[in-house]
Amino acid sequence: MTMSPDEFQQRYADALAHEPAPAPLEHDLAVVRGRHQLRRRRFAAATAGGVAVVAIVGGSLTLGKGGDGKGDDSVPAGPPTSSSSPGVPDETQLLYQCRTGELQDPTNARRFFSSGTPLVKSVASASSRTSAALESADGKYWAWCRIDTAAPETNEMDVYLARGDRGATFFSYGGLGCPEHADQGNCSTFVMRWAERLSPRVAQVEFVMGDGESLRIEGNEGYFALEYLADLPRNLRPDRDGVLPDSFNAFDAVTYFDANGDPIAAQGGSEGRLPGVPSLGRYPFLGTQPRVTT
Amino acid sequence: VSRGRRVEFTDFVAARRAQLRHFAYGLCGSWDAADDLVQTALVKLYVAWPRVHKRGAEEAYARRIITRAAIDESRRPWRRESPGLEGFDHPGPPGSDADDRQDLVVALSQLPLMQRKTVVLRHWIGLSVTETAVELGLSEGTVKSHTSRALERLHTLMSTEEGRSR
Repeated sequence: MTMSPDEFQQRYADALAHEPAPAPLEHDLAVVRGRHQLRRRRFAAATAGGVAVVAIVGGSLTLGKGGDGKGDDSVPAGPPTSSSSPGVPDETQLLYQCRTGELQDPTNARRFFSSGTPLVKSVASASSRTSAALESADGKYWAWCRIDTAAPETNEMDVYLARGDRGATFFSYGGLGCPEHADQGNCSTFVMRWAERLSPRVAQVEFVMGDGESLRIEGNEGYFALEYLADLPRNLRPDRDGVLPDSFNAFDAVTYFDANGDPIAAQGGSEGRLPGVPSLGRYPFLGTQPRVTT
Repeated sequence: VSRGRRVEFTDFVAARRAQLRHFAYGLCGSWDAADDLVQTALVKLYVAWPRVHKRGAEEAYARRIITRAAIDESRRPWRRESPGLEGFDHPGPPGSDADDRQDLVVALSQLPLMQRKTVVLRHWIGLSVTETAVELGLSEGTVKSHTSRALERLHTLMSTEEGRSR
């Protein structure tokens, strides 16, 4: 027995009968248009550098400094003008760019910075991209800031409540490694971007990437950041719209380790799990409420 | 941003957003997630608008973004790999929020991913076998077999569910 196409259509329509009202159309359009109008204004001054295909940079660098509790005034009001290393922002630049990223909720950013200069808990860079895990000076929030010196119009920051402790998740960005404005159909690199706040017991995280490489990164009091940029596996290319085959994953497995180097949680890989090692749910992502309400 | 592009894009969104939302809901089984997916797709579509619009492939492009993001989510719930789905709460296992879903959507969530995609594209969106094959990068024969199995499985799942509820 089978379901007829007509029955499928009818049942699908029935399922939509309880459709909640969508957000106003004007909201959707304002978000999309607003983002890109801003992008273009800033893009004129950006350096459209090429992607360094060979770059694979993982790991974390602790740059933390204490918050000074000075409130908004402690955050630079304008963009710093120098950098110690082209493409990789220094801490002052980083925080400025995190605060002013164009793809983020300005209310969240304001709240995050309102208690003083945030702590940069973990940061990683690959080519022009940087991910940073930040903690607000008052400890109420943490944030994943993503910046790209070659495409500052894409800078953004997600703000989370630091007390969040619901469930396990693994939120990362994986996709093509070429700049957004490049021809995605001819892109031959991929990127994975990640920052997270985990239990402080998690000292290291190891990934098996989509190209087969393994890398292990150090955390800082449970904060991690990763930027990975590499060639796509041989014979794997996106289609003309820049969509990768479903079979490709930016990474295939992840394992958490404690300070002794013992695995304490894992997921993914050909076996799905490591024998005797709990899944990631044992060590949840600490911040599952990204919306900081006004 | 040219006025023409804005107008074209706005017209497209006004005309097709509901359809994209319904499509996304069938794939992911959550209205909140569907809204996030559609918003993500619209942002990407806006960036790609000139080249996609030139080919008249706007809707197919948006659907592909939605399909890909939904698959990333459902394939490995522990591993979200999609750009900026802010506010995307943790999905429960299929059927965990059945009170908020309709039966077909619960049943769809239990299908293998390719079956789910093919049956929704074929029989909700209304694509032909050839169009579905092109959109998913499959052979026409594979589309037919996935669709057929999906309909069989849906019949079984819903018959079982209806039997329980009697």
